[in-house]
Amino acid sequence: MGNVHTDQLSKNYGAVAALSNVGFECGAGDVVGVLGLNGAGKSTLLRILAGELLPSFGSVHVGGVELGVDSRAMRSLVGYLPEEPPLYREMRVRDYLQFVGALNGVPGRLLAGRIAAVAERVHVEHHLDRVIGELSMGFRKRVGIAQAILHEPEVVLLDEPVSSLDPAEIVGMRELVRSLGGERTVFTSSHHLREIHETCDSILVLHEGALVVHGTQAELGALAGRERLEVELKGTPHDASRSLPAGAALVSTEDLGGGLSMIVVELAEAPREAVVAALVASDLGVRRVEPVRSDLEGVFLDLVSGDGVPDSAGNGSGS
Amino acid sequence: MSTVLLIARRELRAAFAGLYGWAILALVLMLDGLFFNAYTLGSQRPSSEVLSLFFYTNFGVTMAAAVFVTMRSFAAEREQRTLVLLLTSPAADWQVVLGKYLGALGFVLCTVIAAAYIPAMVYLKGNLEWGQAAAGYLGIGLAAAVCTAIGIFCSAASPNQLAAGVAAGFLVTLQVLFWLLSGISDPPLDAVFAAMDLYREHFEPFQDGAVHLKTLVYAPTVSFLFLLGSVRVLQARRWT
Repeated sequence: MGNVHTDQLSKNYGAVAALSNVGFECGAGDVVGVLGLNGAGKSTLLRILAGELLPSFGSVHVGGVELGVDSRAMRSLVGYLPEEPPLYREMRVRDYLQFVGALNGVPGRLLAGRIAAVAERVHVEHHLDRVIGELSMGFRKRVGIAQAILHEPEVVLLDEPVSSLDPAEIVGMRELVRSLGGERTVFTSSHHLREIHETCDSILVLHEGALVVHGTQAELGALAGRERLEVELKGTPHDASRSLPAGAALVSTEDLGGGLSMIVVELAEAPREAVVAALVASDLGVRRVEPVRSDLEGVFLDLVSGDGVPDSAGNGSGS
Repeated sequence: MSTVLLIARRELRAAFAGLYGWAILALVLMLDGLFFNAYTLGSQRPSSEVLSLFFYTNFGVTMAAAVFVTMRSFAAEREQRTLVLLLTSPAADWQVVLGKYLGALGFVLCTVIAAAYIPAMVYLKGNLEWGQAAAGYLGIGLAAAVCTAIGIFCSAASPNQLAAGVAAGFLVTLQVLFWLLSGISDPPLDAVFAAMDLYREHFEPFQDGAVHLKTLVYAPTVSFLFLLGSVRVLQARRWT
């Protein structure tokens, strides 16, 4: 079982099913993006993983502890930043972090050092004595992340961490989220597809409360039939086209000058290795082969519209 | 520090951190002073009667303070979206409720202490009966405990501060008007309503210096029931 595991997770708000039969598994250190349209169930999923809500049906395990069986122990393993950071505006940052640390059971003798370390990590070390209400939204988000990781949880949940941030703050937040992975499992939801693209190892796509797919970005691209290779070669595109094995197709070409061409090959069914081997073997002077990063927006829209959903969708297991 | 005391201390500090808490404190002192001035200053009442009148008015003012303080407790945190911090922490729901209750009760008792200059004046200028003063303050404390618990319950159950204030105001008023219901009810309901009355049955004797054991049972019991209700509300919200 992974670090985070859900099975047939469902949540109803009255007659409305916010989540239905969501099952996935994530390993320690994964950075998992949660994608979905408004009302897809992203926030509900994170609120359940945080222990704020209890599921109507199904189970949630974090670090081997089941929500509902030992909810307090599970909550101690999770750090949570909602979309609106839960900050007491009248408090100073240091006092707030002291309160949150003590609330989450950080021993008093460790608290000062832990606050200093976390503040430095999220770059608020020069604002510890400022009143939270006076901080910009970017710094409030950072303080929100600080409170979420202060007790060194195994799982960190970030709900729309870049919402309301300016472009410079978004770049900083992206680096921060990325840096949290590796040592702990991170879930981050966002409407900004680029954020997910830039920061996440794997992606959960939710649509109308159901898990459409869970996989890496490459897997998502492959599911939607969009995995492509960019190849720079000395031959002509026509020669390259003839060299491609069955199941691969030339999508676009570009004359780079000096006898060089750039082609983009879509891998419909042919394995990537076979395509590369065929091009190299055809003596076309292959200079560079690079997978084209998936157009995540297109993949996402295909998935939530149902066009690109494979039969196994929704049963993806963790990466 | 235990989780309960941690939350209580933050609540108390938050009450004094903004204008709201100080405004309530100022209002309490103003009302206590005005009532004292209207009822007793310049009169030739004996000290025990002056003290009894002070406790009478301070009882009402303290109840109102409890309503105004507690209406913010859960409802404001819900509006400001900070309640999630407590609900996703390892703290148990009963610890959150008890912490908020003790913090709010602490603030209400601060307003009671702030108005203690009036008994002090009786002591300086009259003949203060220490027993009556102690009984009166015990009665105020017990009434504050009940009203604060009612307010915490209403705040936990209400969607916003206004609704919490209205609900708490209604329930607290009901607590002191049970004697009216008792008067128009037939047995055995009349005795039930009388036993539930907060003022006549459970506070009036204290303001005159008499400590009743039944009140020492009544106040913790009613407070416990409302706090238990608050815990149940929090637990229920996790399911909805």
